[in-house]
Amino acid sequence: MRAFDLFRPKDLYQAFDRLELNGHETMLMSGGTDLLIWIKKGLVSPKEVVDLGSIDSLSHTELRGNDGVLIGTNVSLNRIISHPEIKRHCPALIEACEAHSDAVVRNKATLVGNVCSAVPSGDTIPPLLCYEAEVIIQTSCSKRQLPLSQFLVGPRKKNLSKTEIVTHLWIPFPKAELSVGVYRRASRRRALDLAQAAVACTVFLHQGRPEYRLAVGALSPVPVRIREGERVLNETYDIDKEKVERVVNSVQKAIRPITDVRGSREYRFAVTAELVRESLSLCQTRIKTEGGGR
Amino acid sequence: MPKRALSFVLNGERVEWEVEASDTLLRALRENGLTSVKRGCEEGECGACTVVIDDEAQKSCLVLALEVEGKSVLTTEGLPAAPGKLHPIQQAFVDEGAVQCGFCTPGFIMTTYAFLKAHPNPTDEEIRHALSGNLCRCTGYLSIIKAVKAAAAALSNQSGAAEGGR
Ligand SMILES: Cc1cc2nc3c(=O)[nH]c(=O)nc-3n(C[C@H](O)[C@H](O)[C@H](O)COP(=O)(O)OP(=O)(O)OC[C@H]3O[C@@H](n4cnc5c(N)ncnc54)[C@H](O)[C@@H]3O)c2cc1C
Ligand code: FES
Ligand code: FES
Repeated sequence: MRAFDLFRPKDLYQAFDRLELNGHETMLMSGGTDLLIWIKKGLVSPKEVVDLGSIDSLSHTELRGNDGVLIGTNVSLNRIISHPEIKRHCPALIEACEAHSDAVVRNKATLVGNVCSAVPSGDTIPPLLCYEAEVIIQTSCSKRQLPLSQFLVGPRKKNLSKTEIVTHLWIPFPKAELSVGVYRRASRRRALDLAQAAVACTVFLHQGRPEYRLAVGALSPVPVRIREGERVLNETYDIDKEKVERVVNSVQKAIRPITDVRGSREYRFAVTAELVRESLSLCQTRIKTEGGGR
Repeated sequence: MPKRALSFVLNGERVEWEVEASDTLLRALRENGLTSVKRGCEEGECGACTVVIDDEAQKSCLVLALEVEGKSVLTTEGLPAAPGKLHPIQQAFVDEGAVQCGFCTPGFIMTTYAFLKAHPNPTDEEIRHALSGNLCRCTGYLSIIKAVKAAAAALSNQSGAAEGGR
């Protein structure tokens, strides 16, 4: 591995000082599961790494009643998976975390790190788009909060300057009697492989009326919500075969899959259609079983 | 770059080492003689380098040495066992024929150690899931899953006996 210096700040202020001093030569690290591999492969070569893992105040989740949860940048994916309130309100996010890497890597890899990597196949991004998560960004003297959809601007590109740090992710909990959700991805192996195509579908029941949200990953430069598909799903209560195919169509129109080592463009179109059908059918089953036969 | 001081608990004893800032924990452990920790892919995929840090299994090629400052690290060298005996997990791997070339074994054993501490009575599905980050080219996994089940039984007998004797 190419040599670099490591700075382990005790608090955010030490970290900001460092970024202000030599931000252009520095990269931030949460779990480091992407960063260390990128350095090893020579994709990036920072002179210094600032390890946020040493900042205790960023290592917690903070529940705000039924409003939502604030997730510090050091919180691992396995800690998200075992959080009962996140599971209740955001089941599609839990499924995405479970699809990520393997049970050991998830002790190190973080949710905020997955978002900050900003790769098209980032597993947690599609469900976080459905839940309308927001990114909390700080400098030494300011703070801003940005919808995730505006934070991600392209493959490995994000709306973040060199003196800023993503301190937390805010996930608002849906105001609904019942929240069901599904994350489905296609990959060559079950564990340890990045997604070739991924679909997140969430349904919130408001007085028995379902509100669908749909997002896809690995199929465009950044994961996206499929607004047209959501409109089709939400126009009437019932979902029949014809409606499902209209949704599949809307997804295929919205995506721009590429051919790469993990799969061809044609394969991705076909597998996406299957994932959408499967996700919608699973969501309907879950509404029935979890919603007491509604 | 000058070396940096690192102080942590290794296999129950406090150690003070000097490491490069960019050294992985895997590298630091091996350079200090803990060669049960295997260098496989060095990309987080194979699990041969797995150790237990503060009760969690971690792939030591994905951890910088300086990150374990003040923490507790366990490798197979430090597994608690009666004098002249193997730890029950090691014994189960031997008994079930879960070791062929043996390269993956220390990693599997450390993953199993952390897993059984948190899940003393696992189902087959939970075992498969817990071991999803460890690869083995030789055994085909079935004997490893059997070994984990046997180890779980042995460990619960052990703790049952300890409680009974109290
Ligand atoms: C074996 C293996 C398997 C993997 N499998 C998957 C998978 O199935 N799905 C998947 O999506 N990913 C996978 N990954 C990639 C990686 O594990 C994830 O993206 C992970 O969630 C990143 O989190 P991290 O905390 O390790 O990020 P880090 O490596 O710490 O950081 C990632 C990027 O974000 C930046 N960054 C980190 N924290 C902040 C912050 N607070 N503010 C601003 N920028 C920040 C870093 O500078 C870096 O550019 C895998 C990686 C490995 C090694
Ligand atoms: S050497 Fe660490 S996972 Fe392969
Ligand atoms: S025993 Fe040879 S790799 Fe597992």
